[in-house]
Order: sequence, then C-alpha cells, then structure tokens
Amino acid sequence: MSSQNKKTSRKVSGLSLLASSVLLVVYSPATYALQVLDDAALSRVNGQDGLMIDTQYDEIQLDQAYWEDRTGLSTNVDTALRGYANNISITGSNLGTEIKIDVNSTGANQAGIDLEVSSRYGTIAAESFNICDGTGANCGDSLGGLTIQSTENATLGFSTTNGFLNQNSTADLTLSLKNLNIYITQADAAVNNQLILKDFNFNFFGKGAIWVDSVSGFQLVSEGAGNYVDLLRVADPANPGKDKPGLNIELMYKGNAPAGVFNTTGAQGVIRLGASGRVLDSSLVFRGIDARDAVDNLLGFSFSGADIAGSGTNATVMGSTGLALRMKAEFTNADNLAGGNEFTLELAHAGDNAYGFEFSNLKPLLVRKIEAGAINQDRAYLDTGNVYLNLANTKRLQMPVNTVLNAAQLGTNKITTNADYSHLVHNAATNPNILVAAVRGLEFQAVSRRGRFLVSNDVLASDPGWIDPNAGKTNTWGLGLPIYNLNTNIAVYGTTLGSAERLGFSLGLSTQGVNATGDKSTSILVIDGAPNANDAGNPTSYYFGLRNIDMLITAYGTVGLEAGKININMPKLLIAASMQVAAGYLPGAKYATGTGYSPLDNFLKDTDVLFGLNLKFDGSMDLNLIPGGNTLATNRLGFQGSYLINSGAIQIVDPIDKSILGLDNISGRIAFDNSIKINQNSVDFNLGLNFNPSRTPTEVFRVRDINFYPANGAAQRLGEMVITGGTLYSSMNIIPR
Amino acid sequence: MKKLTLLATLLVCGTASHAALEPMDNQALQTVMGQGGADISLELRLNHDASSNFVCANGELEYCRIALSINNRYADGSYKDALGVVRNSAGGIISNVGRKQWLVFKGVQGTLNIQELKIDGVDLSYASTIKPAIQLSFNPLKPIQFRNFGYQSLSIETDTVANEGVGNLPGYLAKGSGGVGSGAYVDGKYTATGFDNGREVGFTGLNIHGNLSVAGTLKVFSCDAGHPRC
Repeated sequence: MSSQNKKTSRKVSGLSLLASSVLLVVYSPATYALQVLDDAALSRVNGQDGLMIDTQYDEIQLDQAYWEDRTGLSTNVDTALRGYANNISITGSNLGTEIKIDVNSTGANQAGIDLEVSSRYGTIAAESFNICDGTGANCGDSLGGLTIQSTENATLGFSTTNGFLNQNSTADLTLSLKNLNIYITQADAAVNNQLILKDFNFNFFGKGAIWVDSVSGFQLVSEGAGNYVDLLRVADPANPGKDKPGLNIELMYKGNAPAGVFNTTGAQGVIRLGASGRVLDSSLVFRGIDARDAVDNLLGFSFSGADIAGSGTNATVMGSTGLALRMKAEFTNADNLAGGNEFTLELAHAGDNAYGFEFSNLKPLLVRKIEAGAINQDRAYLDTGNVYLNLANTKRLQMPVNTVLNAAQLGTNKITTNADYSHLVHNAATNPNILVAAVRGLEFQAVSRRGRFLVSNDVLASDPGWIDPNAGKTNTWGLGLPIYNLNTNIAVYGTTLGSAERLGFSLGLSTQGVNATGDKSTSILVIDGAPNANDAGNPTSYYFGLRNIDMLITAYGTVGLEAGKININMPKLLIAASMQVAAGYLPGAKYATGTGYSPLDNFLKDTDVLFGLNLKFDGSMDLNLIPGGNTLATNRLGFQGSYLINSGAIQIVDPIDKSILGLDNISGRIAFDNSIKINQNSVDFNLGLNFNPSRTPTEVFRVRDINFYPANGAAQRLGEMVITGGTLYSSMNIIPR
Repeated sequence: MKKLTLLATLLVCGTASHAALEPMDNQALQTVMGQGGADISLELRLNHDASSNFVCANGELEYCRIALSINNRYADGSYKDALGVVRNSAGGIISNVGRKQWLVFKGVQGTLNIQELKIDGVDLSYASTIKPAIQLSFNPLKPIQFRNFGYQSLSIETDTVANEGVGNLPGYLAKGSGGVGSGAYVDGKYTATGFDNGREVGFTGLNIHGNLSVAGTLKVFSCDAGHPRC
C-alpha cells in the first residue's frame, strides 16, 4: 500500500512540456532565428487565420491523481477524503492532441470562438483506485483497475457566436467518444477477471447556450427554437455499413484474462443498453454543494462503525463539499421529429449473435390532457433529478421516506417504518471510506408505443434468424416503464474476500407509485395500441400490468467477478413494495366502443385494478449473473442464486373495500436458476425454483400465517402452509403481435 | 402472417357471393381488435423433469411435500381463543398449545402445459356499460395438457413435541415406521407387496393426466361499484 501513497509525479507530463514549447515558438518568434516552413508543415495548418497546436508524445506515466472531497464524521468533524487513481499510463503509437482555435465574427461587436480538440490517446490505464484519508496515508482496498482503449480519436468541438460562455448566445458543442473498449479488472489471486464496456459510444452534438452561474454552476442548456441535442449513431467498425447507437453501453464479461492484456476476444455478453436520436429542451447543470445545513443534508448524519449516529453541523455524510449535477431531456417521437432522427432506446443481449428490443415512439402517460380534447402533444422526458457525488465515511445512509409505504397496510403493521429508510453500508466494526452516488427525484415519464425486435450487426441477411433492420416499424405493441420520483443511494468501496478483490456496495432504491394528479407513475405496462377506428385511428391504448409501484429496496454486500459469472453477495436484502395489478385504458384514451373516455386521473382510481399487491421480504441473497453464449440460440442473460428469506409477507388487497388475503410470516430458502432470452420474434422467461435446496428442516418454505383481514380489521387466521422442498420450473414464451 | 393469410382466406370465402372482391388495406386489417396483443405459451413443471417423470430422490421424499395446518388444530384439542388465550379442550387456561396437526400432500408433482393463450385488451359491453377487460383466448386445437398432475398420498401427520418445542420433528417432515400386515410401513413408506409398495404413507392420492380443450374466451376485469354486475 505504501507505494500507492507517494504523490510525487514520477515523470513530468510530456504533454505539458511539449505544449509549452510549442506555445513558446508561436508567441515569441522574434527572439529566435526564422525557420523555413516547408509545404508539409504548412498544409497542416487549417483555417489559415486561426491557431493550431499539435502535441505528440509516446507515453505518459503518472504515479497518482486524486480527487479530494470533504465529508462529515460521526464525531462532528468535517474532514477531507481523497479518491486516488494509481499508476496511470497512456500508451500507444502516434499519440497526441490537436487543438484548433479560430475566432469568428457573426455580427457587429460580436466575436465567437471555434475550438476543436482532437485526441489520439491509444490506451489509458489506471492500475487501481482507492479511497484514502486526507493525507493519503491510510487507504482502503482497491476498487479495481480501469483501462480505456480506442482506435478512434476523441474529439471535443466548441463553437460560439458571441463570447466564450454567454447565456444569451447560441453555441455548438460536439463531444465524440466512439468505439471505446473500457475494461474494469478485478484480480482473484493470480487470475484477472474483467467487466468490459465494449464499443462504448457517446457521440453528442448539441446546440444551445453554455455559461457559468455563480449560484447554479456550469450550465449547458439547449432550449427554444432551433436548439436541440443529437445522439448520433456511430459506424460499427466490425461491420461496415452498419451502425450502433450514439450512446452504447454494452456490458461484456471476460474471465481469466492474462495480466496486462486488454482485448474483447472471448468476452461473453451480459446486457446492452442503447440510446440514439434527437432530444429537445434539454439541460445539464453541474455544481458544487455544501451539505452542512438541514436542507441539503440529504444522506443524513454520519454513523460510526459502532452504528451510533453523529449530530451537528460537521457530521453530515455529504460534508462541506461535493458535486451535484442534473440532466433533463425531452424525447422526440414518431409524430414529432423536430427535424432529427426519432429518439429510440435499445435493450438487448450484448456481444455478437444477440437479439434485442428497440423501444420507440415514446409518449407521455396521458393520451389526452383534456377529456375528449386533442391528443396530448407533450413529449416524454427524462429528468435525472439531483445527482450527488461524494466521498464519505459512515455506516448508514438515509433514503427519503416513502409516505405511501409508511401508510400502507401489511397485515396489522405498515409495509415500512422510518427505520427502514436508514440503510446499512456494511456490517463491519469500522467504516471503510466510500464513494456515494445519490439520486433524488429521477423521473422517466415515457411509455413506448412501439416495440420491435433487433439483431446484432454481425448477423447477416443470409444467416438464419436475421431480422431486417426496418422490420417492425409499424408495430402497435409497446411497453411502458414510466418511473416517478426514483431515489437511490449507491455506495462503493474496495474490499477483499480471501485473495480476491471485491467491490463492496450498498444500495438504497425507492420509487413513488403515482403523483397527486395521476399523470406521472411508476409502472410496468404492456400496451396494446392497435388503431382505434372509434377514435380516428389513434392508438387504442389498452394497458395491462403492474401499476403505481411504490417500492423500497435496500441491500449491502459485495460484487465480484468470478470464474464465468458476476457474483453479487448480499447478506442483507430488503424488498418492500405496494402496487396494483390493473388492466384498462391509459388516461385520456377514447374507448374502442361507445363515446366514453378513460378519465384523466384514471391512475388515481380503482376502476381498472384487478387486485392490489403488498409485499415485504427481508433476507439475504447470493446472486450470480451468468453471461450468455456466443450463438443466437445461447445468448441470454441468466440469474442464478439462493435467497434466504428471514421474514416475508405477500398480501393480495381487494381494490374496492381493501380487505386482504395475507400470506404472512414467510421464511425459508429458495434457490433459483432463471433466464431471460430474447428471440427473433418472442421472449422467453425461464424460471427454475428449488425450494429448500439443501434439504434441511430449518430452511423449508413456510408461510406461518395465512390470514384474512376484513377492511381495516384484525387478522382472521386460516392456518399455515409449508412447502418442504421440491423444484418448480416454468418456461413462458411471449410473442407480441 | 399466418393470421393474415387465414383472414384473407376467410374474406375470400365470405365475399364469394358478391360481384367483386374488395381488397382490404392494412388500415382495415389493423382495425381488427386484438392486433396489438400477445400470444403466450406457458409450461409449469413441479417436481418433474422434461418428460413429466417424478424427480424427487427416493430417500428424501419428505422434501417433496406441501402441508397445510388448519388454524387451531392440535392433537390434544387445545386451542387459542379469540383473544389469543391458550385453552385446553375443556376450556381451562393452559400455557402452551399441543402438538400441531398437518394435512400433508406427499409426492406433489405435475406438469401443466398451456400451449397457446392469446391475451388482448377488449371492451366488455354489458347493458349500456362499457368496461375495458383483459381477454384470454384459448385454441381448442392446442389443449391445455395435464401430465401426472396431483399428489401420491395424503395424510394427517402430527408434530412430535407440543408447541413446536425443542426436538420437535414437524408433521410435514414425518417419516415414521409402524403398521402391520398390508399396512406396514418403514421410513414413511409402505413395505408390503401391493400397488402402494414404496409409496409414502397416506389414505388417498390424486393423478390427473389428460388434455383440457378450451374454446371461447375469458374476460377479466375490475369489478368496481360502477358496474351493474358488481
């Protein structure tokens, strides 16, 4: 560890030396003899009247780089913590950065700047990351190593029309990161296992205003006529003529990778997420935060390793410094493209030979905003809420209390109490230093009215199982996954299990079911949107699914990359939720027969609800994510593991009079082997449950109380039930039409 | 595509008496209700392999059971009254309930294969009330298959210790020996020669094996007070 605590740079950066020498040449020619510029040198000058700086280097080595953040301790002391990246190297051939600066004028008394930075960076690697105290002398275990590779230049373009950072003038911003391979490496004794983000893309072009505000911080705002942000699709280098989403997050797993070798050969797919297309009225705000007051103390007071809460101004988890950011964007849809490409989301198996979904025609939950009025033209949107990044030292983190769950009946108790919202980060005697990301109030109010199947670019038209890239563009089925008021705390720290590096983590996640006016919801809905002849061919908008999901999940444990799988071990996992199983019309939709409309506050009414579902499970889980195979038939996502339920309850609630059938006091162990597989035109959900897998009397699946509850009444016990063991397999195939 | 073809064929048959065939455009086809739904197939296997064979190990049959204990059933007639006070069979107050009794389904198993189930949204018209509903449609040519569905034996078993005290062998895991002659059993299984040799102790079994062909549709909707049928 001591070698990681040296903070002196082993070499001075080649970049800065070279850059300063170039600048010297440019700005002080008079002091030197004139040198002849040959044709080759001249031809590299662009724009003639601008400035170009080209730096070249062979390698950069840095011992350490760190980010310092202040945190409150339970002893009411505000102290510094540092997040270190150790042994950073930039290697490759013909590395360098080209900077072009041009000043332009667009009108009287207006001058803008045109900046283009293009970097050839080869491989950037940081051998390890750890979180240390303010002196850097006491550090935790490594969080893992990070390596970033690309054969394409990273480019940053910035073009303004009036000034540099001007709130009132338009600027263009290009940020292009294409086809990066990002490797997160964990060492397990002599073996390295890697989680890989393959072909990571962030290919961004935005028109808007950029400025810095003394209160709100750095602002990047693309609002109003003519302004937009595009996530532009990126050519797939492995498959000429085809492309991948402008934001492509493709998680792969590679076991037993030789030390120092970074490639995707032999990597197996886990999951791929993608987004591309045009968004409007978007903004990104980036600022610092001081949480030493009641309003900003969002993660509560720091708890000591002995689990005793601190108090006082200097005891807040977030401390006197921290980072906060917020992003908003409204999605274009098939009926409102705003001159760009429609915004689409992709969810797929990762790697080659992978099927997936594309979700498009994203619309808000409300079909109409006025009953019998015009179709709602609002755009679906994402608002990340406030996202906070902090280094901290605490045993517990605070989640916002969900008043619905605190008020909802679970038998004779409530589903949650205030105590459930203070969740453990770990269960050791001393606190590790942690990195905390907290989200407050994320909203994703979008219902996809069109889903279609996709296949990865490597599958050719001549291959069996190919899907035409234009197939399904007139589909009328969709999936709605609107999310309302999502709050989350995610803490990570380095730890070890035997000789294996692990990533310690703690998670708190909550959602709110529905807002007061019923136009925002957290739901999982299948949409039947065939044209409704009774409504001028507008979509029928039947929905079926889980509606108004109020949920709290808290857990702590460790994540490890193991042989052939990603292991998530959670000694504590609490799941509490209240939701409705419902079927009906989306709010504001016209009925397919007659003259009626679904009420605008339909999601606040019980008329569509088949039954309510309240549940709470407290236990421990060992979960393995199993990457897929490399053929179309075997590329799937597997979930294997074992769930020990210490106490649980599932209650079915009558939506009208609120009487309840309760399966209460559930305990036992269930092993599971589940998988999700997307096919050419269908989805398989395979479930394998093994009750009491180790065949021991203490782990039988037991429902100790089967109760009836009259409306607002006490439990009337019917009896109890035990499943002593056995296996239950379920395979379900769904073909959307 | 198959559906479209079928529909087109029916159309041809149905309009044969007319002078000219009217082509149906995509728009017209899509107005057929249920176009945006889904087809589901679901197979459930409880203690069965893919060929519907019972998979529980012969030496661990007690771990393939489902047991129910009806509220307040104890071997000595003790019970908890409405206030939770424990009483003996004569009504006197005692400290602990007796040994719990269980209704134990032994050797539970079964394969249920729903080969095709169509799920759609529909409007359910009743008098003047229109109610959106989930419509489940079955195909009579693709019956629901039941394979060895049921349990091998049913018996009433009793805990060995009152109030589930220390050392209790719960009734749901009972695996005793006893009986004489044709009713003799060891380790919870009959030993005498006969149809039930090797089966777990109990008084009845159930096995459903067959196909259930369902024609027609099932509509599921929320039965709220606004509906005349509710």
